[in-house]
Amino acid sequence: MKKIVITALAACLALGATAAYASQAEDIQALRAYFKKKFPKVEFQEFQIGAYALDADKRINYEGIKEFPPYEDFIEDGKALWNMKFKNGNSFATCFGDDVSKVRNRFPHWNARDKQVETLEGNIVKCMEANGEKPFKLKKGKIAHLSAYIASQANGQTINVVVPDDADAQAAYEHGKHHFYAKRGQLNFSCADCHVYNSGMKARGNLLSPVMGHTTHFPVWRGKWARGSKSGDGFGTLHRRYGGCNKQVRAKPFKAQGKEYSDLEFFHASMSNGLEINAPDYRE
Amino acid sequence: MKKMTLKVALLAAMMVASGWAVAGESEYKKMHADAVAALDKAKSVAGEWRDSRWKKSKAVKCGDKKMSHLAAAECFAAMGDYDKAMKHAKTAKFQGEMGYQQAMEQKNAGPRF
Repeated sequence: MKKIVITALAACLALGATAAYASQAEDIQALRAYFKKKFPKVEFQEFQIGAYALDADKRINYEGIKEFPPYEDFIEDGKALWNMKFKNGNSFATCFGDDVSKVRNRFPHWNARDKQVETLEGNIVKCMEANGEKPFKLKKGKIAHLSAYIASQANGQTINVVVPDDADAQAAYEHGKHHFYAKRGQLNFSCADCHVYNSGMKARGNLLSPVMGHTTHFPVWRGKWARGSKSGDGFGTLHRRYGGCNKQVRAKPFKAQGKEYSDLEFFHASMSNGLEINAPDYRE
Repeated sequence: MKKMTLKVALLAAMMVASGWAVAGESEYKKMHADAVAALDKAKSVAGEWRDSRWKKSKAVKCGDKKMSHLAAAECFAAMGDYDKAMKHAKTAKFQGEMGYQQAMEQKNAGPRF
């Protein structure tokens, strides 16, 4: 009898554990199936251009802008930063390796030693601090220029964010997933409300983009950010965009490169696994 | 006699008014403390809203500056306008309570497809 009870309890626990943790692969599969049904005419790789894959008129405008991208000078600035020597003689290559084309696609990843998600921009800052340099600000400006140059060198590579078999890594992934699906702010909206369930619909004049493909083109150049900048610089990091989204639903934004947004990036980038990097790119 | 009556009436009015001000200030101070407690509780579950006390919020105008509800409550209190201070402290408290409630309701949020 005792054995039966123990076996039944163990079975319940195992079932509970299975039900509570939906694996990354299951999440990706479910999302792909959902978008395939929702947008049957959109080819999988097309999701990397976001809402422009859903609307022919918007796509014409987008392709027009892409003929003479407004951000090329800033990518050159990013290249200069990559080649810049620190005061101690080191450079970003000392931290990331000489082959710049192999940097972008390593992020985000799980750092098992520090038990945290590492992002490209977070590691740029860590690299500067480790070399005695004053770190860049986290959301725009030089950090976005450098990140844009690094990302541009990885174009065409396939995103493959791995959540390792590690309870802490899975907890970070689940935390990011929870942020994405939980309603927040005074307007009571989740990220998923706009970018899953209502993707393809309009919020005022904006066509809501599907989550799949969101992270392929970051850092992004936004026309809105360029118009609001004195220097005309429209670049921003993924965490700048997260803050903007949270503010739009009237939730207090979290700190860029803090745990909340880094975990969100871990989940969010996973949802673009299988898509090619096409960064930087233009958005409205 | 008439002058005396006028002086007494004026004194009485001043006493009542200052009494109100003291009552308004103490009520506001309690509401402000309650609002901070409610917002701290919402923060503990990552549920704070944008305009409750975020330093970059531009929800309310006090003087020539725009700010959050809690900052506005403090700003109006400093100007002696306890009615407005109470109103914004109350809003901040309400938003803290709602933010906490929302985060609790969303504890198990996940995909719905």
